[in-house]
Amino acid sequence: MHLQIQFNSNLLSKNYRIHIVAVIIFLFAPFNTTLIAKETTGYIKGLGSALREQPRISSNVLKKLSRGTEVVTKETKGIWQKIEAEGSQGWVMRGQISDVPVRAKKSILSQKISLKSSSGKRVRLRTFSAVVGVRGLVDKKGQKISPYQTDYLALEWMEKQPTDEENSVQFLAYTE
Amino acid sequence: MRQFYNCLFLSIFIVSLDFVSSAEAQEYRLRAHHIFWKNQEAGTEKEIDFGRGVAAKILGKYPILRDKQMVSYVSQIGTGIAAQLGRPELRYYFGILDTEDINAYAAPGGYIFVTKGALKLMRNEAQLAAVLSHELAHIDQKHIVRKLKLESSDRSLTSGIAQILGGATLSAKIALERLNDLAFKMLMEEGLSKEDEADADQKAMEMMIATGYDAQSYLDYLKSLKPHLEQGQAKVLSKTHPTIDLRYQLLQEFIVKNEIDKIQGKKNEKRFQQYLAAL
Amino acid sequence: MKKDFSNIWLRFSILIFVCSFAYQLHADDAHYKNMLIGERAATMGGSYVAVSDDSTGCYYNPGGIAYAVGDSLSGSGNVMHQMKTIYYEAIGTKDWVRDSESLLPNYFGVLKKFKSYSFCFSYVVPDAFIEHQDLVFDNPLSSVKKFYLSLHSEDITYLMGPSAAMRLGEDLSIGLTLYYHYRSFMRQQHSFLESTNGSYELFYESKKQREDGMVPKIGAQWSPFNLLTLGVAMDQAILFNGPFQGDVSYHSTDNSTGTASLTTTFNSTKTEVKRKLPLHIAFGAAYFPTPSQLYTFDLDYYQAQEKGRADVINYSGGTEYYIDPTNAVRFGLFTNFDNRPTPDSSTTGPTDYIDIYGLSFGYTSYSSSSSLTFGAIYTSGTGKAWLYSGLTESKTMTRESITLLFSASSSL
Repeated sequence: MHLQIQFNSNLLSKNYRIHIVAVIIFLFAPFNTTLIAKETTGYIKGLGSALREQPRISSNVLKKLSRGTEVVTKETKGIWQKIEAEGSQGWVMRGQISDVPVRAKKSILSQKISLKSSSGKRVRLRTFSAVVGVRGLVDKKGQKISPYQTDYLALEWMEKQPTDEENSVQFLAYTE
Repeated sequence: MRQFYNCLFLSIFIVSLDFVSSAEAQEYRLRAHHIFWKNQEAGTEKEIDFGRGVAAKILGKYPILRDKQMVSYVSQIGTGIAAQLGRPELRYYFGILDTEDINAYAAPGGYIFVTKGALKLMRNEAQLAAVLSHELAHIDQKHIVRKLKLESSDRSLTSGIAQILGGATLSAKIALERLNDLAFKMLMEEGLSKEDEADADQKAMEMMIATGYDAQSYLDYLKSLKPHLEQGQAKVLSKTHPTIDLRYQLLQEFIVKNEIDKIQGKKNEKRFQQYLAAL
Repeated sequence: MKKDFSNIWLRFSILIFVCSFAYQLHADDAHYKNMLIGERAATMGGSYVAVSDDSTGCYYNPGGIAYAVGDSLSGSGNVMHQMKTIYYEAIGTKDWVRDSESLLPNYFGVLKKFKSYSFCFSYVVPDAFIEHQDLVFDNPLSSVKKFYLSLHSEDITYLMGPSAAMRLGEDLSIGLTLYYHYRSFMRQQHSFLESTNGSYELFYESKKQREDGMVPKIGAQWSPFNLLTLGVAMDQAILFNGPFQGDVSYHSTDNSTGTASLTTTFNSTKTEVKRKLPLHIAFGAAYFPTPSQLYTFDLDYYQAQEKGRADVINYSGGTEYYIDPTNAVRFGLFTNFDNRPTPDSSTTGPTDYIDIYGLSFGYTSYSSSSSLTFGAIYTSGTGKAWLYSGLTESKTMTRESITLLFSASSSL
């Protein structure tokens, strides 16, 4: 400790230290691009993916990995992928891993657009393509662009049916 | 030839799109995470918007079956699989099409349909899981989006779907509508490539294994389709999918290679019958 | 006789040391950059004037917030901030080690954008000095048996207020922040000195002060070329008041002359101590070669407004690198120079002079709508201290500090 302080006070005058600042900043620049190598990381897609000891469905489950967990991917064996996550190594099925980070659920259903339909009734629709679909988009010659029928009311009914991921996973787990 | 014209038509439109520079000044300020997430988010949003248009067309062709109990059953099976093996950023919607035709469809962004005819043909829950998984795989692998070249190879959607569908101009709307029609036609007439279908079959089988279903039921379902292909009830399916024999053979190889035949899975026949008794 | 003299002198000196240091302990107002604020900014050595494109910009350069990417909410706190100052041979042959520790949320900001306008509200703690010491020195001098010092002080400066910025065309923006300045200081000190001959001294002191004021801050950013931005920001604190209250009591007995004498004094003061804070002008340049790299450099000029202070320039530089779009690392260096005139042969105590250098490192993990930053800041300096009143001979002092910071931000 004392030795170090001696060293500091003797060698490092103000100017000298500013030079060191500059040198380190420039040294850091190539370090940025060359030395930091990418590791192959993956991310757990599902709610509670089983990490197994062996690449077999009957193998011991070491732990359950939650959605979004960052993992290091190692070798693959058919449909199985060896990974390292949260300090343990094991196997998951390759379909359970995404190579991009997990994102929050995206919904476009909150965006409602009001417009008058062709029958003059005021309707509220979601999304831009729905508007196009109902209006029956015409090109510059006045011809309908799409020859196909649409049914956005049926679609909205379908979208309104409740779903719950966790309940569904439980429902699915049932075995007769 | 028609494909060629479609492509040409599209290219012209894409080029003529007005790239209104909503671009913020000093874009170089955007850091890597901004650009990355912006593309991902925008891409997903556009994909859903796009798929929604395709789904509306499917529902324009076939009426929807408004039976809440049956839909909820199909939806829970589908959502349960998707929650474990689907794309976490998507919310999946499941619908039953009120037709005797035997088929199932997936529109990009998470819209999955199975026909009443197909449900009637199924014998157990494992077969339903098989069909839903196959459609889930199409969405997860973005087969339609990729085939329409809406996504560039490096997965940066800036040059793909987001850019094409980003504009609010008339030409952008027309381009979107054309793309929607192409996707719809692909589902109804042209079909995806053999490779994509085989890929979806394999991925679906993996999903079944991961969720504990009997993988053999997948093959049983394919086999049970065969007599209907000739009768015309599965006309669209036979037009849009590779032959059952080929799919069967490829799946057999896959099963042997990965020793899937040794796995015992569940069928949940009773529950299936109970929920879909009214069909 | 000689021995007696030294005895008296030493005892006197300790007392003076205790009393006179009161002034300096007031806080570390000899340095302007004791705490780095923000997440990206703090981990890049506080070099942010030419970047400033998030809510931290309200503090560094309100002009920059016009370029914020979206609405955001962010906050940060120091998980640990420890500072250790050592005065060598301060009390006889003994070193005096002073520790300051604080655990403070030091930044909070909300930013909202409306077209080419940005609005922000921020809360900043630019300086905090919290010290709790109970020290016992056994036989620090031949004539002193025991010296006991108990010291408790808190000196925290808070800034809070709104900011607004607007873009003037593509490459120029201006902004204004209006901070309310509030500083709260309190210190209690108790010391006890027992001589070998049975004399003792008791000293008790309590001090309190608060300050209220305004800190208007204006800033601008300009991008003369693609990939390069320049920033300038200026602020001047104006204090409205500075009420001060001090109570001192002193009690001693002296056995050295053979006849015990007793001295007792009490003193209470109420007065106004209004500091004149410096005019601060910051210049910065930032270079954005790619979306995953950034280099930034700042120069902070402080023009002294009161006697006993000198103009000072601090330098800082930083770099940011994204390993991939969800992981970024940052590195920075900075100076924190003493703001008093450079000492010379005529310098007499009590005073000290120390230039400080710092380095910072940080890591941020990004998700689609939020980010988490962990960082560490280390500072170190060697200087000179004239601890006792009237003394012209200096002793070595060192100061080291380590800060671990944690901050989170979320888009709205």
